[in-house]
Amino acid sequence: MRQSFAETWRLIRADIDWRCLYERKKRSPLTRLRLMFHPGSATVVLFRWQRFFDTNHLGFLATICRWLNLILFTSSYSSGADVAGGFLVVHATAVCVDEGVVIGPRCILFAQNAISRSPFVDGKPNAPSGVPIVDSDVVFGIGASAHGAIRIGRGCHIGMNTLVDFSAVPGSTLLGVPARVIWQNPNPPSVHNS
Amino acid sequence: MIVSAKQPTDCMTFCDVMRLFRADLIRRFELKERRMTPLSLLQAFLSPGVLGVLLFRVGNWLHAKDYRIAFRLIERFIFLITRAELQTGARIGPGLVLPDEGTVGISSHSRLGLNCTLFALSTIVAKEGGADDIVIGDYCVIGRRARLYGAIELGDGTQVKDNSMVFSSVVHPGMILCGVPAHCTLQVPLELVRNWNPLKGKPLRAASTPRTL
Repeated sequence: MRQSFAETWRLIRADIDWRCLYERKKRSPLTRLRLMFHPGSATVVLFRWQRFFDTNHLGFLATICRWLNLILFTSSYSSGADVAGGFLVVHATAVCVDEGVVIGPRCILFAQNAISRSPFVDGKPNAPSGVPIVDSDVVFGIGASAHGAIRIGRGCHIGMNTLVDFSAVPGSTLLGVPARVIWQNPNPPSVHNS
Repeated sequence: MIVSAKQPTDCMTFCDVMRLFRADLIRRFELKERRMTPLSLLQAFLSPGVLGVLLFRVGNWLHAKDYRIAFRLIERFIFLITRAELQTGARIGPGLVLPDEGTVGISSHSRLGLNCTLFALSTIVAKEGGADDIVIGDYCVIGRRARLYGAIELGDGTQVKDNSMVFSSVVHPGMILCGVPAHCTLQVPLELVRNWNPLKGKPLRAASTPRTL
């Protein structure tokens, strides 16, 4: 789907605003400008422009953005990923977001996260091959990854180095390889109070 | 079983290297489900995953010829453009695919079979001071941030899931390894793994045929 310039700019603003909130800084134009060059924000901004260029038939510029993301931050984002505003990458190292992944608003990726379709054969030849859908307010710890046709519910917290390959209900805290639910928040954050 | 991983590199000519790279490229296009056109080839050559493999193949040839400065330079250049540490002494069969644009680590003691797929941040290292090689069979898939450590041997079609650490040999074909330390969770038929597309998460369009030199 084509992404307009105004939409891209709105998403970038939402990302920077969420970062201001995360770092507890005032949302002044100067702070926004400064945070835009923070590596964590810069990788997201590059991804936004990559998607804008790719959906507007400017593949060459999109390739440059992809290359910059890889060389500077060792991260690779697919232009086909549908990432809502308020996407925060804390440390921009080796983040991988696959094509078709849907990420809700206000999600936090710490570092070295992978959200992708499952590359493994699970013995079921007719199993649905799909990508994860990540709801809002999900936090991925360092090295956490999610793959397969799964849905990670609102407000889930995924611990460090965790591999999630099953759907998680809202408010779960997951840990381990493969992941298991270690705590269930009875009151997961809603869209209004987060 | 793991014969293809034991290809001799010492008597390799430049044509053999290019043949290996051609097999890598064909495998990548197969997995990406794209046709090989001039434009798609140009795009592929702009991709660090392809450039890294090409430079690794050339570096491997230089390593076999014992041009030390040249292959060291190539190793550094691979790291610079792809953030992958592919040591040129490693013996890797045809059909190597680095789908996440590099960022993998392969030590010079590694021997990989044909049509292996290595995702980002996967690391294959020998034990410090160890003299034995790590031998990985054909059609293996190594997930993101999976670590393979020590003089181990993995059978054909082994799949190592993300974030797993493998310390011991698993020679049975078609095993799925998961956990820290990794244990076998499932065994799938080898034929299923051969005809599986790890990039798309579904069976290959056309059944793949093994390519050898």
